[in-house]
Amino acid sequence: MIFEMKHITKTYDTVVANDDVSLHLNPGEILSIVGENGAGKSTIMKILYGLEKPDSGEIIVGGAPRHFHNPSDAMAAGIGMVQQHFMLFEQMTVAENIVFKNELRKGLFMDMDKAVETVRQLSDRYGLKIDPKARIADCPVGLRQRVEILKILYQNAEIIIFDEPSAVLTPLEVEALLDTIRGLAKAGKSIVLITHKLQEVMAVSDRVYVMRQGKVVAERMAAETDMEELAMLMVGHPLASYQIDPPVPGKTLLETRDLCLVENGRKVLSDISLHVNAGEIVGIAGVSGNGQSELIQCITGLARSTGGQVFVAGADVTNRSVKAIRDAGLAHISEDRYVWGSATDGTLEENTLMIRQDDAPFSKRGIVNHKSIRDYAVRLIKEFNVKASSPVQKMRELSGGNAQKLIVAREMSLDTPVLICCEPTRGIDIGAMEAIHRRMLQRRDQGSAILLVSSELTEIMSLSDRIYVIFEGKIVGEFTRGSMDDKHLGLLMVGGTINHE
Amino acid sequence: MNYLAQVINSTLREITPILLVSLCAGVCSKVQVFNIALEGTLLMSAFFAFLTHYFLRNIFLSVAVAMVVAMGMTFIMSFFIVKLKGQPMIVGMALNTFARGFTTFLLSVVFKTKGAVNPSDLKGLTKLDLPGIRRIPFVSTMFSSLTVIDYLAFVLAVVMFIIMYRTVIGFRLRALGINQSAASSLGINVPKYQILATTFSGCMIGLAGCLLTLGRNAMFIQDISGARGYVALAANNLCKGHPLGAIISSALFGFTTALAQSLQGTAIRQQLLQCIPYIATIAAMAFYNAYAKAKAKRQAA
Repeated sequence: MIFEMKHITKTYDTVVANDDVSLHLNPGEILSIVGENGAGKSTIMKILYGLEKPDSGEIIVGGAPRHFHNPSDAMAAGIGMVQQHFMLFEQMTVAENIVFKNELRKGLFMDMDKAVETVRQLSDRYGLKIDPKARIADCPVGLRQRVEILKILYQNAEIIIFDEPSAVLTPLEVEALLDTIRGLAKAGKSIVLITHKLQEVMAVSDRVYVMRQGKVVAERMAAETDMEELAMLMVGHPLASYQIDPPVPGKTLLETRDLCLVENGRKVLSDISLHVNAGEIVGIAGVSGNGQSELIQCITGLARSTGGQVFVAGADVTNRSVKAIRDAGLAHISEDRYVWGSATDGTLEENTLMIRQDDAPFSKRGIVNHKSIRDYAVRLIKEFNVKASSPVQKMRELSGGNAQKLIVAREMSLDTPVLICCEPTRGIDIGAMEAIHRRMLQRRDQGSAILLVSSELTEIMSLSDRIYVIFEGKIVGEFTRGSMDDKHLGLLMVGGTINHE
Repeated sequence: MNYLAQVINSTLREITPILLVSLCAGVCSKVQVFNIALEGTLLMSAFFAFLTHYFLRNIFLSVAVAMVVAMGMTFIMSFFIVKLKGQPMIVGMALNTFARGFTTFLLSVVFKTKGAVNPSDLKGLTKLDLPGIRRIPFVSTMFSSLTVIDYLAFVLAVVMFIIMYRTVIGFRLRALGINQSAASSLGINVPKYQILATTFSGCMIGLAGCLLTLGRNAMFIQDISGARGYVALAANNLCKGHPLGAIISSALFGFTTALAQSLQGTAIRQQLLQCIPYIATIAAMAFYNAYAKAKAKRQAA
């Protein structure tokens, strides 16, 4: 046993984050800890990494009991953590980032040549290909994560904790990451993987702990379980599969004709023509960065297209203002809930009011009516099951999943004919995801036209009546439900063509 | 010809205080402490350099006192911003207003005047006459009556470059300025680094203060800093905190100030002339930003 945590309990105010949690890690093992958001899996690892102190319990690393006061202590004991949010110096090189705090010196001076050489050796040894002299700012997300891993290896960590490592990665980068994790375990490192993505758990783990409401509820060998069982253990009840009726074809509510966008001389969108009918969910599948974000920005008025037209409920809204487009009958659950979707320093009340601030009964002749706003916020919070302590608490205090639910609540309650959902369930747990999916299907059955953009292929496949595949700003394929499997879709997404034989 | 040499000479003397202050501003900006108290710090250290020299007649002690006063001001500034989380703009402006009021007050208490003190018997900093160039006509005028601190300013620019870009401590300072939470995640005490770095760099403002009051003759005039602190802030902005770049950007502002002075007595109005350095500041910032934007665009394409 390389480490063991015994009877760890941790409470924040009144919330029990960890309730008598005991777990252990064997050398060279890949251990997964799965659970919904708020199940306590991040907390237990933060305790191990010295970011939080337990109220009671014991941590044993390498046979001796330890008390970590900060991450440096944990690092000294050979424990490293790849955080969800990267901690990197953007304008510096890969090598500089890796040696920071343990610089290679020549007297008072930096020995950069040696640093570059050391990083190169490290990268060769673990098969993590990287250019030590590249600037972080020029590295894609997958490479940045690799730098984080190398940073930990440079400090001779034996135990590596990954906190939701695939949340920010594209599907191809996820594959590379899983290979890396396997490689590290083969090289003798012991791995802890915190995640709620069960495919990844099944793909790499040796052993799995399932946590729910602060407790470890199950321990399984990966070979002896399956995704259904793990999912059921995570949420505490069997998952219902969606009952999806065949679509009732309605008239076209959202349409783009030859939509183009040229940015800095580069064609980001080329002649995108698509349509979404009433009572239909249309998915856009693609590896992120192939123009999905720009397409949605052009439709919703956040960016100006350089050619083509956009119609919402029959009206030409090309390059109109965001407000004009929304007034034409469009609601938009935006890609990034904190950048576009909400004001993090605003209260929940203020965030639910957004967009409707000029409507009766919320305001009259520029004077807001606090009571009606409060009632509305309370109603949405209740209806959409947002876990919040009060309608006047700050948006940033909500967990990711609950913040997303509130945004979904706001946009869906606008009751517009067209609804655009971008990454509606990114980084949120199964329970919240299921709730959001149900709402989307409900809206579809009520006759809304829904455009869904998601980097989760399973989400697109399970919800969409029709799918467009986007690659390098072009629509490269269109399919209806059931006429396509994920392998073919995946191939088109990376620019391949289908071999009809 | 001789006129040109004189212009270069007064340009050099205008450059060095701005250069010294922008070197301090450079460190502050690299560690992400927005220091707008440069002006007040400069004024305070200039005043105390003069005061010490007036009473003790000891040039070394005066320089030391100026440096300590400047470091004290910078420490207060960074302590309030970093530790007490004060708004940098408020903290800085409070210190500037304080410096202005405090020096004017002491001026009237100690010297019973509100304008200028210019004791004829008090000598300023020793002028350095480089033996090699004394006899070369043009060059000797160019470098005449410069003090040790004037030369030191350029040396310090190089030293600061080496510290910031070649040493371990400079590397850490630049890194933590880029991403504080990344630095602290690796166990770096970010506030400590910030406060120590800004405080020590403050001593360069002390040197600049000495140049103002002891650079030629020993004298003090109310508000002698004359917005050089703000100009240095602009100069530092222009060179993005790079110590060697600071030489060039301070040269730009030093030159325009000298130009304004040398045009005095011509047909151009005094008030217009006084605007030149500030118009140059705005113009330089605008040009630089336009250039940076165009460059970014070219790179993207």
